[in-house]
Amino acid sequence: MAVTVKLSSSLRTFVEGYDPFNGLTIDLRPNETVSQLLKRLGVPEEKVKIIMVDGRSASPDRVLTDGERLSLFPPVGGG
Amino acid sequence: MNQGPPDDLRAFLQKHLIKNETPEKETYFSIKETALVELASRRGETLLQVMKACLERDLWPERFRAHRGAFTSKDQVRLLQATAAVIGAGGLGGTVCLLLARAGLGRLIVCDGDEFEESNLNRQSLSNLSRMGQKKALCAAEEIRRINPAVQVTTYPFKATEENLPDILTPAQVVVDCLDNLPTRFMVEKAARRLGLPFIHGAVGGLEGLVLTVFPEDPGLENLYGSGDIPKEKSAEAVLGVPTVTPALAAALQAAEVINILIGRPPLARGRLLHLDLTIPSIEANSLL
Repeated sequence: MAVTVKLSSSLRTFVEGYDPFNGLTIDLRPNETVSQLLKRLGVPEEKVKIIMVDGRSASPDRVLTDGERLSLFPPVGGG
Repeated sequence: MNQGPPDDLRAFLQKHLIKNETPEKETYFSIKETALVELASRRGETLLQVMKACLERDLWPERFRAHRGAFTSKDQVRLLQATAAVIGAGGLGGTVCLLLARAGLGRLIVCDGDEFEESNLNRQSLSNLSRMGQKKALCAAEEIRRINPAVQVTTYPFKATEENLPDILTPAQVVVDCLDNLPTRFMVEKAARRLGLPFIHGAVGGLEGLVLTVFPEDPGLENLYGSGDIPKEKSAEAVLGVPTVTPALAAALQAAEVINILIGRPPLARGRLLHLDLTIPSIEANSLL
């Protein structure tokens, strides 16, 4: 029971040694939500603006399942 | 002024036509800009009208000859007849303007209230040392005319507001969001939606960027960012900066999207958040619908 977690831009600074190419492979706890996983990873939920599971928009209370890919984005606004 | 019958055009051009051959030995003709300018003056028409008249006969202005194969002459005519509004003329908008002028859009509307400063030089393609302190929107117009004098440019060298946006956007068929802060992006999206116009959002921070196309009936920025009252200092670029190459990549995708929409091809980023990541590198499409 594992998920791949892909962090984007400034969220990468919360996980030391983060590898953008591979992301993180995290073993899931039973019925773990996005929100709970963020806490475990040390990524502050308030810094996360966009949550995607397998390329689709999801909410923080979404329960993750084996093999899914979680992508997380902070607000990005530069031009 | 000698208007003559329509195919006077071909007669005039006869001595100016350049014969080209494709690898499949197909022959087609192109014309240099000097001949087009002369023809426009003879016919009392604009350069744009003359370009269109040539393309309708499948005669390619040399400046668009390298489009042949990627675009049909009909596609090119569509671009010549099209108007895009570019809101923001900095890192994203400057490059979007340059690309759309080269692509041959007939009219560009450029809105930006800022002036160039030294900290823009790392990434904003319209900036240079001689333009410090000059209005970005006016510099955009100057540069667009240098590239392609056929483009009609309308400039708004002041900030977009709820009051002025309807006037700025009304002539456009597509709106390109090249701003640098979420609250104004939300305002422009709302104005575009009200006018029934597609809105192409681009945003960058560090070596990453996001591009999303929102049609009036689609969920938009609110679906991504919530209410949108996120100040600049809370955005990724406040931490990671905006290095040279990132806006150029996002701007290229935004310009590609403008072209797709205008010539009736499927959009790249409608309902799909494109995440550009130069650290990997990759462009990922994330479905939103």
